[in-house]
Amino acid sequence: MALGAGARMSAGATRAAMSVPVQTTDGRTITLRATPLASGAEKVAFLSMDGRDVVAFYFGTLKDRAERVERLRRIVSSYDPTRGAGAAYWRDAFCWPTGIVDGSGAVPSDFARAHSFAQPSLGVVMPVYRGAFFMHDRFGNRVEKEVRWFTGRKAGALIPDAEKGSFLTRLQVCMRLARAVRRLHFAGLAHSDLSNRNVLVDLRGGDACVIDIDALVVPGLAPPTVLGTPGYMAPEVVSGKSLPTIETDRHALAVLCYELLLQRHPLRGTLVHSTRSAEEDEQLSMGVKALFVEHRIDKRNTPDAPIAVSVDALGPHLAPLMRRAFEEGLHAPSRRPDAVEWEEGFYRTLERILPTPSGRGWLIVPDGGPLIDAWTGEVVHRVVPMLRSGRGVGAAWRDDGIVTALFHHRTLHQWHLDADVRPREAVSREPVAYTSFHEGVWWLVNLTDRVWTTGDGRAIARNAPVQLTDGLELAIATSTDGAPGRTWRIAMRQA
Amino acid sequence: MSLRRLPVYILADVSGSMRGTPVESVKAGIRQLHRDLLTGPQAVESAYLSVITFADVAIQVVPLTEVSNFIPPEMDATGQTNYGDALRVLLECFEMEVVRTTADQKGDWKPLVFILSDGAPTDTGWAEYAAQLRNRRPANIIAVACGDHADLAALRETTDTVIQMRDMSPDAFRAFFKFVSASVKTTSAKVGSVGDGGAITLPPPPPGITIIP
Repeated sequence: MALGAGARMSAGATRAAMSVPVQTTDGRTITLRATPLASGAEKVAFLSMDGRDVVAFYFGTLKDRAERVERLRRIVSSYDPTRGAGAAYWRDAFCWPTGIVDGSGAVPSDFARAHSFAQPSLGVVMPVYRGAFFMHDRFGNRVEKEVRWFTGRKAGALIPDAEKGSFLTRLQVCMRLARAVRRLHFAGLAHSDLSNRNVLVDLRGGDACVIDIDALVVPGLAPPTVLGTPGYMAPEVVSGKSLPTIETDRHALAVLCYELLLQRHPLRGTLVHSTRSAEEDEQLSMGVKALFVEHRIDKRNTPDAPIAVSVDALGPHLAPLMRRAFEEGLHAPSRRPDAVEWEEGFYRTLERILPTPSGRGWLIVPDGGPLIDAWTGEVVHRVVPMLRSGRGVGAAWRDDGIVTALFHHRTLHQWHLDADVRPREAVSREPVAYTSFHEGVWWLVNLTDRVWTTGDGRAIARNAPVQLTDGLELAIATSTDGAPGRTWRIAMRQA
Repeated sequence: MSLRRLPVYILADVSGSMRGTPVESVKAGIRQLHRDLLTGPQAVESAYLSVITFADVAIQVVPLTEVSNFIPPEMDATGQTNYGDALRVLLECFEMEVVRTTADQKGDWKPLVFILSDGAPTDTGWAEYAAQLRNRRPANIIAVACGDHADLAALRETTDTVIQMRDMSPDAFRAFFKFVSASVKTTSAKVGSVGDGGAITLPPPPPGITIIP
């Protein structure tokens, strides 16, 4: 058992000052409150007096100090996505480090000693988490919105119902998470410790933020410093065959999304692999012997509580991705879906989302079959107008494979109009059209100057409505800057 | 339930020498520990707490209970330091409460045990139980010697991890229970890490507490 670096602390606590000034490598002075904000296995964190920054210092002996400093130096400079395009979006999606505190001279020595900092001290400066990522539990404690609050049965019982969000907001959280991971992976970076502890989620607002970015694996630089968190490490990491990489991040992302959407772990079932110890069994169950609890053929690892909502309820886009991640790709890292595929899968799934008649639930409209809320059993009995996006008109129409379920006040956006636009971070969220159910008739209203041309030649201009009928075709005009418009086809889906 | 539990046992010395401020500090510390653990979803999901007190005899005053149902116990300090009985009850609790992994059941994690004592054993049988704990290693044990009169040798015979808390002020106890809660939170999140054989990594103890080498 290792006890960190506390071995030579003097008896009798050093009387600490109320505030402690520390110097960052870029010449800023940050004044910290002397009592720690939080403490983990690797770092201890302090809040600044102005409440804007947190500085986390490493404990113990840093064997790889030089590499860590170099890694941090790149993280706060060239790898920082909050500096380039889409900066505003990424600032919310990551808690990205903003500075480094490096060396004994940067920190008062009695403060460093009193809290057993690594010598010479090394700290990382981060912005405090946004207010939306805190909540008050049933006992009035202010707590961070860690993923575990929303995936655990017992922990979930302690949080207010209003914080639990809906299936819709859970999908939105996953989509934002996939988008953030995609951004890291596009830059060639692996988070290396994506887990329930390193992601904050706001289910009220459908928001997510990736934290603990100081362990990023920077290509060609140092090897990873952490192997990850149990339950989120890919099998090849657990069995010691691989270190964290972009491919192991993909496994962690799939586990997080599965947990957030279905409130159970994809690999923790009843199958026991070793009776020698819980630890050895865990090592095998998460490693070489890992098996999906909902495997289509090998059903040995089913959870002991019966599955109420199966992975197939996640619809035609997500269920196949989940099965690829936990069946084909579980022990074959190269076959795992990447973050782009997840982002696309969530986007296409969110297009199919439909509120239930009670207004309390959401369901994903499948290609065929009845419309049933998998969680409550609530059934939608009405006609649902479905909008299929494609290109070309009439006989030349080609399907884009994107299906949007329309409901009263459902808005359409840039990515519905333009053939090559995805709802990525930089795209405008302004509505360009809305749906209305008025006096028994379904309408779609154009909010832009781009004219829609119906199959029979009518032009739907700004603020004009068009009645939705089965087989209606609407060709969107090319934009003023030359972006080709999509062609929509309406199908009135019978209940 | 396929979720493994992390059993946490607190063995508190409530012999006569703990009377007054020390025992009140331990009570307050356990209450604070409970409140702290309620803020950590990992601990809420997997940690289970039990309190065993020992004086003339050892009593399990709180059986192994999940964090959200735990009720901090009352305790009075009086009598001798029957350390052997404390270890005997602990071993008995392991036997009765800790779920073993079998071919068709996922068992509990290795228990985490904190032993707090300010004196020397007054019984004669403790060494036999200490040897069992040391040799079979059924748990990760952290022993805390409080004040200047604790018997370090007896604690060392029980576990390798002995920490010394000379100062027995309420502040020192509060810092110590912060450390306990950080340890439980860390362990409940990191338990089952790669190739650690069930050993755990604890955060450094608070200032004023010395780890006996």
